[in-house]
Amino acid sequence: MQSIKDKVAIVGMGCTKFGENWGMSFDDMVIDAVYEAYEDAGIPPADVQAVWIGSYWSNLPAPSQPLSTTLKLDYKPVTRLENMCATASDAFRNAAYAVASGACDIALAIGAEKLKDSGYSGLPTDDIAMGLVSTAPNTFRSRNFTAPGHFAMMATSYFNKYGLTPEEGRTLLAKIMVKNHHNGTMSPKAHFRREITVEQVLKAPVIAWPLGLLDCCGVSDGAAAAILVRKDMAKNFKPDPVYVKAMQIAVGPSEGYMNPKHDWTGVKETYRAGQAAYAEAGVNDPRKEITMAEVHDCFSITEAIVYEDLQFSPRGRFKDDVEAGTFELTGELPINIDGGLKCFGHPIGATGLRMIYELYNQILGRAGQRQLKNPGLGLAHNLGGTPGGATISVTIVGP
Amino acid sequence: MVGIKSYGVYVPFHRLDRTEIAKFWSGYRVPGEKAVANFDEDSVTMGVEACRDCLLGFDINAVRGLCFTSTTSPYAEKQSAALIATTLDLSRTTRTIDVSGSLRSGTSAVRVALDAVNGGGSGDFLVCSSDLRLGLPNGSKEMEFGDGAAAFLIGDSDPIASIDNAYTVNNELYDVYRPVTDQFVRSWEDRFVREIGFMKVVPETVRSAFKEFGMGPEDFTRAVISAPNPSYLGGVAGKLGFDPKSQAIDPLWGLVGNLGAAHPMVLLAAALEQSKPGDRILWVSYGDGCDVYALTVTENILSVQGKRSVERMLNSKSSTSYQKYLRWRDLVSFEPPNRPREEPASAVALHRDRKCGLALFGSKCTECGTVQYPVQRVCMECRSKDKFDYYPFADKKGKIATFSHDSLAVSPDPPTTLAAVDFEEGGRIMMDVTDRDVSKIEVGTPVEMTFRRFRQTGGITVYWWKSRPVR
Amino acid sequence: MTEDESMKVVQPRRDYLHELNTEVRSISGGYNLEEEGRIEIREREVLYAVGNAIVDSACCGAYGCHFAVVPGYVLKWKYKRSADGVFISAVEPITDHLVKKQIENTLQDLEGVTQVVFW
Repeated sequence: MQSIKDKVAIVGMGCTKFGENWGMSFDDMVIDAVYEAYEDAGIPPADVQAVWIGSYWSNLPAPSQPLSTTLKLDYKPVTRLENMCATASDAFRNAAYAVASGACDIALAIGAEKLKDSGYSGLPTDDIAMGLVSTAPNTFRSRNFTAPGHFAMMATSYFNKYGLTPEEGRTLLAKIMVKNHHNGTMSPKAHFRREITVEQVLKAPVIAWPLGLLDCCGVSDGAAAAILVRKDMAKNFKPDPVYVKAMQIAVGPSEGYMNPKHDWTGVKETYRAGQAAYAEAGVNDPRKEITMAEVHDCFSITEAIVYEDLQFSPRGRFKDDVEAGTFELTGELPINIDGGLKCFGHPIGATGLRMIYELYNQILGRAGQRQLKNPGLGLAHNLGGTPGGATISVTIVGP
Repeated sequence: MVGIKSYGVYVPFHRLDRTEIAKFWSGYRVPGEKAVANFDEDSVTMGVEACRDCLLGFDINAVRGLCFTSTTSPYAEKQSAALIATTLDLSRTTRTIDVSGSLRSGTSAVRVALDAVNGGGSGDFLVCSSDLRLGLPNGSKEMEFGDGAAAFLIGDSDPIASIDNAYTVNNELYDVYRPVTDQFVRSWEDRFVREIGFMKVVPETVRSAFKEFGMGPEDFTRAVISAPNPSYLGGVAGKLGFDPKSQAIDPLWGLVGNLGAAHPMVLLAAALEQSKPGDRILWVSYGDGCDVYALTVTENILSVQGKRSVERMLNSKSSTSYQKYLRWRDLVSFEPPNRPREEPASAVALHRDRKCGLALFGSKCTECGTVQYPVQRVCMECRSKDKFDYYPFADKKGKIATFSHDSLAVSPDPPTTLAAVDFEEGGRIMMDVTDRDVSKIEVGTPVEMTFRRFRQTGGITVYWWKSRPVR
Repeated sequence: MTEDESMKVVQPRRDYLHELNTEVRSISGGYNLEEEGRIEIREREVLYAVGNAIVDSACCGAYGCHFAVVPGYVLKWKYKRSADGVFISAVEPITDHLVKKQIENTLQDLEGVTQVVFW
């Protein structure tokens, strides 16, 4: 199997402000993100040869064809895809593979989601999710399903296995939330920008025991886009392009729902996608070689578990790194430098590209107040589904 | 010898203290509590529970008939018995019958079962009664009515109690009634209901039955007379010459309330649980007439009494509030959560899923032995394709591997307790935990399976299973 | 573990900031603690605060509640102030299951809360 490493370069990216974008339609956000990317790459729209757009709920059932109308694409192929909450990452993967294969020289990947037109405060429909966790499609023979309910089970299991009292565990998770909120205050495009304290996290009511209100992410609208080109063309666009080092997706067969061997203290798909990505990028010691990461902090516990699944922390020991401040902006391996889902919210189909956008800006030295010194390899971890049955993408990019 | 081979009982986990109702309305106070079905239960789910208890240790393939009786079947047109038969994994050629419309429907169905068994060649006949009746808020019926179910397996071999005699009269009377268009039970003036209804019909019928059977009150160890309340029972027992202290059995009014069609069935089960071989029981039910039976308890009683179903159901309980009761019965309109409209399930998909969904069958890989739910055509362990046997989960016990209490999930009994249930004999299913005390759920809590109602959309009720702490 | 047994182990001590009527917002919703109270449980003084929360922008649904936070037994009442001048008390978090249940019942009756969060 060949590696995608260093065959594809990112030469332009765009991202809208994430938030309750009442004044912007799905199309408006797509146009803004894509034109920012065009401008960044310095290419005219007509140069794009193929387009992949990820969206989970928006403009269903047919976002592919209307996209060409929105962007006036010049009779080029457009494909809409979904892959749960990792949808944008998969749009990126498809575009990257197209370029790596030589089938096209310049490809556009878009992730976009408009959730706030639905009139609901949460996601626009339960039924897609309920269908996924049902015993059979269309029967709705299913447990009562919410995402916090499922992720909270991971916290219960982890605390139990490693002997943390709920109080100790919740305090550790609170520290992760405080970190992300702090980082988010420096992200102009974030939805939510305000500091919080550990005490405020712990005083909040419980949403799904043991997770509290401030352990959970929110609903946002947003769009992001990337322009990918063949490596040998990259310097025509930019003196300092960002290269794709690895792009791996692992989709689990829902073992956590069916197999008692799965103990809900890790997400196997994250581990597997991470292993595959490290192999592809030639990373031997992730803790040392990865210099920054954007990970899927839909809930505080999700981020904590990612530390271990991606081998940043040893199994059962994320505690030590949280207490040592390893993943803070000034720490050894900063994680969720832009504030993560806690500050950007989670427009399902856009999140993956927003993560890559942050790594890209860090490498190009454009991250403003939150700019890291000499960032090297950056990792984006995007999670779809739930801990028992997930779709995970791990993308590694670097200078 | 024809008779009852086994009994099963189900009383919901929740009880409502009658003084809670009285306090809420500043109304008159009545002692005791009533059994209250959870929001995810109906007469079918309670019936399934009673049948499962009844069939414990018996060969389900010998069950050739199932009669479901209730005044509160979920469907006016669509058979509950067929649904229950599928859920219990009874044979496709089992005769299924619904009997409705009367508080006497359970005992009358026993007569049908006796005739069928006496007719020969029909095997065992399962008779189940279940009711979940509603009285208007702040009324005496709301105070009285409880929810519950019972089942008897009728057959011609090895009965725990033989049914020696049966006698019946029918009687046309508007005493207690409910038009199909109404949700709440109505009744005529109390004095008429008492004097021309129960207090007249029951003694008359029992006396005629005594004459026909050639027996009198002195011939019975116990009189199981199903009465709507203790005052009716006391009146009629005295009239018939029974000693209320030694012969009449506790009507359970203070513990569970009047269980409708299930009441005479639950009372008989309670009496059987307290009986010894040789005891004779008079069994009487009332509603649009009166059914009277004479039974003799046999040696076989000793082999089934160990399960102590009635005792267990009465003792395992938790109190709920009147506010929750109102919500569970949809008696107050709540502002619905700002959530998308629920899509109806597909009748096609439900039909395909009936063995797996209703009867809770998963698969067991014939190559590697791994047990999994739902049925996996490709084994999750060894990846072999279509090499499996169906594997039943409904009768298996499990432990909570991990859980959460979710306040965001829409539920009439928040928070929703969700768990990964690991079964003692293998397999895991993700399930809601119902009938639980939130503070007592831990990793490792033992649970058992319980059949429940999930969503109702477009006239279709989706049923599936939940776990509950072992009762 | 009974209360007596739990007394034998060294209890963690925590500081509690008496911050009231300050809305704490997050991306998924917000809450506000409005009042504080003290109740006596098993001859010890327990501090609690009550407030309201609204979850109006979480990813998976809406929720609102009147709730209580129980930081624990009071060890040192308002013994210092934060940099912003807000009082701080030292508390001992409550871990005993039965005591928690008792406090929960008391606060449900007293304050009509739907949930009680323990530290």
